[in-house]
Amino acid sequence: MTLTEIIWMACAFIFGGTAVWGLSWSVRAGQLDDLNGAATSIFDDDEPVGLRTDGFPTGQVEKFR
Amino acid sequence: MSSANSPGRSESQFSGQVETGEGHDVQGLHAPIMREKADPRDGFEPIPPWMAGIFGIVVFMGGMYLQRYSGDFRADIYEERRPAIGASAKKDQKPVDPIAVGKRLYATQGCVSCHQANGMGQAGAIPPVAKSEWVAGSAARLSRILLQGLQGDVKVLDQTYNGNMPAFGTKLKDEQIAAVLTYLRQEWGNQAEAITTESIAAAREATKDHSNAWNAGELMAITSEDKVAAPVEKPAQRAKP
Amino acid sequence: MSLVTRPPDRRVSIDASTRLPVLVFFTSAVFWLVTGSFLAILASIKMHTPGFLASTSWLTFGRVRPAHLNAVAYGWASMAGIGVLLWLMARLSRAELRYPWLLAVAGGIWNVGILLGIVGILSGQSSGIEWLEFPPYVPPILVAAYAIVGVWAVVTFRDRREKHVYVSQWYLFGAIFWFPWLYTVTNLLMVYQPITGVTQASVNWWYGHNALGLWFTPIGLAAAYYLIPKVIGRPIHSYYLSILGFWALALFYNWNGAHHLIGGPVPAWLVTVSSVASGMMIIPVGAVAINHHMTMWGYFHVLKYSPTLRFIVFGSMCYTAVSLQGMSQSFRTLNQVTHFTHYTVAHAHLGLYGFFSMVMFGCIYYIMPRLTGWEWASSRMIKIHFWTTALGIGSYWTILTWGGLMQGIELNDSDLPFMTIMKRTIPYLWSRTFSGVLMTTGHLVFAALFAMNLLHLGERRTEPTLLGDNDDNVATESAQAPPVLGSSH
Repeated sequence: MTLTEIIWMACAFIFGGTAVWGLSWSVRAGQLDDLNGAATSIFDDDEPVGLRTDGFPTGQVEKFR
Repeated sequence: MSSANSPGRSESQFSGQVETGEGHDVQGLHAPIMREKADPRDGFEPIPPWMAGIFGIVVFMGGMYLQRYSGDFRADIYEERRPAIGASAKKDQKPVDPIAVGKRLYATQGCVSCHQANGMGQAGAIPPVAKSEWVAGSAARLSRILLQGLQGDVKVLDQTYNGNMPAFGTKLKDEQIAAVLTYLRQEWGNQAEAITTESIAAAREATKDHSNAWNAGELMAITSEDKVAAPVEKPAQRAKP
Repeated sequence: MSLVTRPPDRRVSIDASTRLPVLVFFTSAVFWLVTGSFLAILASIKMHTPGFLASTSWLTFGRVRPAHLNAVAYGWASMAGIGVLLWLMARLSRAELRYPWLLAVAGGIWNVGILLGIVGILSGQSSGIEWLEFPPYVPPILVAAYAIVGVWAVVTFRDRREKHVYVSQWYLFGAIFWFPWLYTVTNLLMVYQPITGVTQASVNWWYGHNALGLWFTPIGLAAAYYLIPKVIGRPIHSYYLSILGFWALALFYNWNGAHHLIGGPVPAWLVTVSSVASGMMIIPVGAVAINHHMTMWGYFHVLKYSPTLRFIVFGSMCYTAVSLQGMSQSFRTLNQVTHFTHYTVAHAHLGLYGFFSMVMFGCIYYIMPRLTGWEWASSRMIKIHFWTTALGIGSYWTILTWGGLMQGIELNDSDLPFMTIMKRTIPYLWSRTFSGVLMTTGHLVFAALFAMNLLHLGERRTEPTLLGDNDDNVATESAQAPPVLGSSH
C-alpha cells in the first residue's frame, strides 16, 4: 500500500467516523428522546402551530426597518 | 397511522379553522395551547407497515443482487454475468458468425479499398472477387493468396490483371482468414462452401517455408487440397465440461 | 413532553442579521440563473442547428455547454443554496449571524470564482472534467469562499439558543461537511495530482453524482422540511421517519456514483455495489415522500394561495420522481438502453431543476419579504413564473425521456446507421429548445420580480402576496391568525 493510499483511507475513516460520532452524539444528547417535541421545535409563541406563515405580517418588518 | 387518528395530529388540536379563513373561533385560536394538555405519547409516527415491507424487500433483493453480480469483489472481474468458477466457460457463448466477422474484416483490413464494396475490383489492376473462379474454386489456392500474397499477371473471368496482393498471413489469425474467405465465397452471389479455420491452419503449415508472394503459375500447379489433420479433436474436447 | 412553550422569538432580529449575506447570495444566484439560462438556450439550439453562432470559438458547443452547467450548478444553485443554508441555520439555531459582512465578502469571492471560471471555460481553458470544468485556478477561490460559509454556519450553530437540533439542521450539516470534502478531494485527485486510468472515471462520477445528492439534495430537503410545516402551520407527520431518512441518505448516497459507469471497464463489484445502493435509496426517498405527503394531507388547498408552498411541493414531488427514476436507471437492463441518450439529460434536469431549483424559488419567495420588508410586487407575475417553469420542466422531461428512450432502442439496433438515429432526434431537440425558452421566460419574470422586491418598486402592500389574489384585489385570503396567542396566555 502506498503512502497516498494510506492517507486517503485515513481520511475516509475519519470522515465515516464523524458520521458515526454524529449519530451517537444525537442519541446521547437526547435528540431522539422526544420526537414529537422535536417536530414542533420550529414553532413558538409568535408563530405557533396552526398559524400559516406564507406572506409576511408586514407590521413585524416595520419593527426593525 | 393516518393523520386523523393520532392524538398529536387530530383536527381539533390545530389546523382547521385558522387555515380555512372561515373565522378564528375559540377552538381554533386555542388549539396550540390545548395541545399541551394532550396525552403524553411516545412521540413518533411509526413507519407504515407496507412501507416497512417494501424496505425489507429492497434490502433482501439488494443482498441477492450483491451476492450474485459482485464478481467475488475481485479487481480483475469486469463482467458481472461471469459464470461461477468451475463451470464451463464456453457454455453460454454463442457461436461466432464467420460471415459477420468476415464482413467486418473486409471493411477494416483494407480489402474494400482495392476490391471495392461491390467486389468488382478495378479494371487492369485489381481482379474482382465477386463471381471470380479463383474465389469459388480451390480452397488451397485461395488460402495461399491471402497467406503469402500474389504478384504478377493473373487471369480472372477472361480478363488479365496485374496488381499486388499483399500477404495477410502474419497479420490475421487462422479464424480471421477463414472468416473473410468464407465471406468472399458467400457474398455478391458467390455460393461456394465455407472455409474452415482448420483448413487455413493446414495451409499455413504446408506453406511455412514459402515466405514470398505467389504467382499465378505456381498456384495453378497446386491441384490437391491441404490435408486437414484431426479437425474434430478440439470441438470434442470442448463438449465435455 | 409534546410541546415546549417557547417565548416570543427574536426571529425578526435573526432574520435581519442574515439580510446582507443572504441578499448578496440570492442576487448573485438570480444573475447566474439568467446567464446560465441563455447559455442553455444557446447550447440547446446548437444541438439541432449546429451552425448557429458556430464561427466564434467562444460560442462553440464544447464551451457553451460546460459554461451553462457550471453557471447554473455553482452560480445559481450553489449560491441560492448557500443563501438558504445561512438563513435556515440562523433561524433554526435561533441565533443571530455574527459579522454578517464577512459572509457577504464570501459571496463576493465566490462570484469572482464563478466569473473567472465561466470566462475561462468560454475562452477554451476548460479542464475537460465533467462537473469540474473550471480552469485549475478557480477551485481554490471557491474553496476559500466556501470555507468562510462553512465555518460561519458552524459558528452560528454553536451560538444556538434552541436546544433541539431540527431535522433540517441535520441535512444542512450534511451539506456543510460533505461538499468541501467532495470538492477538495475530487479536485486534488482529478486536477492537481491526477490519478490515472479508470479510477479517474470512478472519482469523476463519485463527485458528479454526489454533488447533486450530498450538496444540493440536503439543502433542498432541509428547506422543504422547514418550510412545508412552517407555511401550513403543522408539524411534520413523522419526525422519526425524517431522521431515519437523513441517516439512510448519509449511508447510501455516497455509493451511487459508479452506476454512471455501467458497461464501462470498471470492476463488476463497483458497479454492482452502486446499483444496490441506488436501490436502497428507496428508504430515504420513501421516508421523505411519505412524510411530506402526509404533512400536506388535508392542506393541499393551501397550494392555491401560497407561492412558497406551491414551488416547494412541486419540487418535493419532483424529488420523489427523480429519485425513483434514478433508481430504475441504475439497473443494468434499463441503463443499456438509456445510457448516452437524451434520457439521462432529462433525468439530470428533473433533479437539479424540477427538484432543487423549484425548491429554491419557493424559499426565495418566503425569505425575501422577510429580509427586504417589501412584499412581492405582483401575484400575476409569480403565477407566470410558476407556470412557465413548471410547464417548461414538465415538457422538457417528457419530451427528452421519450426521445431518449427511442434513441436508446435505436442505438442498440446495429442495423440502423448512426446518422439516421441522430436525425430522428432532431424534433425532440427542437422541443427541448422550446421548453428552454419557456423556462427562461419564467426566469426573466422572476428576475424582474426579484429586482422589484430588492429595490422596493411597485405598489406598497400591507399584506402578503398570495396566488389567490387578483393584483387589484390584494390579499383577500390573508389567513393570518393575529399573533395574540403568546401574549394573551
